[in-house]
Amino acid sequence: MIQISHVSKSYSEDVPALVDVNLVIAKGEFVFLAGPSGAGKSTLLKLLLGAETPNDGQILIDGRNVSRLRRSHIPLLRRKIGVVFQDFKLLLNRSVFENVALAVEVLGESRNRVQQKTWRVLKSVGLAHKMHTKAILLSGGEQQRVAIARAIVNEPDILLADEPTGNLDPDLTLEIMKFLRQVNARGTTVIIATHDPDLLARFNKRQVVLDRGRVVADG
Amino acid sequence: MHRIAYFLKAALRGLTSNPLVSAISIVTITVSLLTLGTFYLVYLNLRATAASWGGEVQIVTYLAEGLPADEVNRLSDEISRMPGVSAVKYVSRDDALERFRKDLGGQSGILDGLSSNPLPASLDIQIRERSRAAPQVREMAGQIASLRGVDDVQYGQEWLDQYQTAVNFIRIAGAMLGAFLLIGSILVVANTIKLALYSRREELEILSLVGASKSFVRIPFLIEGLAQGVLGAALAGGILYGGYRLLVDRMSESLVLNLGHFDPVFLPLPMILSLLGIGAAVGLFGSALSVRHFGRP
Ligand SMILES: Nc1ncnc2c1ncn2[C@@H]1O[C@H](COP(=O)(O)OP(=O)(O)OP(=O)(O)O)[C@@H](O)[C@H]1O
Ligand SMILES: [Mg+2]
Repeated sequence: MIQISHVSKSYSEDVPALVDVNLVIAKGEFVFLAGPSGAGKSTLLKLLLGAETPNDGQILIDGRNVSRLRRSHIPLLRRKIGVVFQDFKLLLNRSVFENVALAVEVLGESRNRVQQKTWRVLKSVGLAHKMHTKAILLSGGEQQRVAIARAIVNEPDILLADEPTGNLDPDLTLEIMKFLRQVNARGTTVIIATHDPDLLARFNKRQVVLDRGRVVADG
Repeated sequence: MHRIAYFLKAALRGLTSNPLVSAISIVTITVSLLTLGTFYLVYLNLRATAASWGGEVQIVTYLAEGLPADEVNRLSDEISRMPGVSAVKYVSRDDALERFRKDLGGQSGILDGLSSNPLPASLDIQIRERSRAAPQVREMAGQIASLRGVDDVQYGQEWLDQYQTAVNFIRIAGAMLGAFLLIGSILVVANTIKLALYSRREELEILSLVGASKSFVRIPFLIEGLAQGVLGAALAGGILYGGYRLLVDRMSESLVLNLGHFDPVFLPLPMILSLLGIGAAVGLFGSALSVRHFGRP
């Protein structure tokens, strides 16, 4: 369970990125984080990951205060959260396999387990045949799927996806969304940030709408 | 345990991804350790030479001409009882001439023209190891010189002491120079690792975001520094040994140097291992300096 209460965040004094945000997201929920560009969607995801700290308020994940977490405990939090970054954050001169395997190696799993888990997840996103291709040689949509594969390879409790369909054509978008719902069906809490109205219209899920850092609609 | 393979792979990637920078770092360590090793090697050999002389350190007591045999025995006994004296050996005039002839070797012909033996008889006095310092020897020589029947006393301790002072100076100067160079090497390694961290900052950010612990991020860089240190040390050891062999071979070819009984020595195994250890420590410490602030989420 994620509890966000009275959270504010500003990078500089003039423009606040988030203002007094209150949210509760239950375990296993599927939530869209909507709103125009600059509304604060990515910022909220970064706070959940402990990549940024709020100026005010608190964020509890499974009862633990994220911003009060000791530095040495942040890696443990992040291992429970898979993230698809808006800019993917792939290592472009490494292979698809290496990019995904990295997330498993971090856990200290055996070579066999690393290979097995990586291969399985790449197959599920339809990229097994490009395993040894360098990420830089992939199309935008393929890179996005590598990013998704890396986010879910460890079957995280929470999946944060920042515009996961931003670069995909309608067919692929549909496929990826189906895939994310499967992940959700297996018990993972899924939070998707998007400003794509089509996507929101097509899926009848809870939508939290942000505008200039405030929650303006939830339901 | 599974991580070791990952760490080694990552460290190797670091070493090879920027070969020139790694090479500079390795060579710096090599130069420092080579300096340190060379000074120590020179010191060892000079000391070994001094020790071989030290074994011969003696006070030569020339006896008054025509000293009767019982007087010689009395004198010999008296000197033997002096503290610090380990042995007294009587060298008769004939013995002295024979020894001289041997020392001259091929040129001993010049002695053939002599009608009488010009050399005096002497007592050669061996001094115990712990009594060989110059002031002690000087005092001992003075006592012996005042004995009846002694004509003259000679000893070379003063010169030997100066030689040993010079040898010690070389050792200290080498250690200081080496220490300076080592500190420099640490900074060079630190800089190399800083560059490596910088060139891989994207990867490090990603590692951190997917939940890598601090040590998981840092260890490959520590291994990279360690490897640079060990490689540098191994290179220094190799060059030092190669240079040593070359020099020793040259010297054994040259008869002149071979005449003096000089037994060259190389660094003993513990010292070679120490060089490797110092190299490893320099590399590890250098990278630790840079990595200190890194890998925090
Ligand atoms: N690292 C940063 N430093 C300074 N300001 C930032 C930073 N990141 C975001 N901001 C600002 O915070 C506000 C919210 O940005 P955020 O990236 O969260 O929006 P978003 O909803 O994700 O937008 P988009 O849909 O374009 O991705 C914006 O005004 C943005 O300029
Ligand atoms: Mg964004």
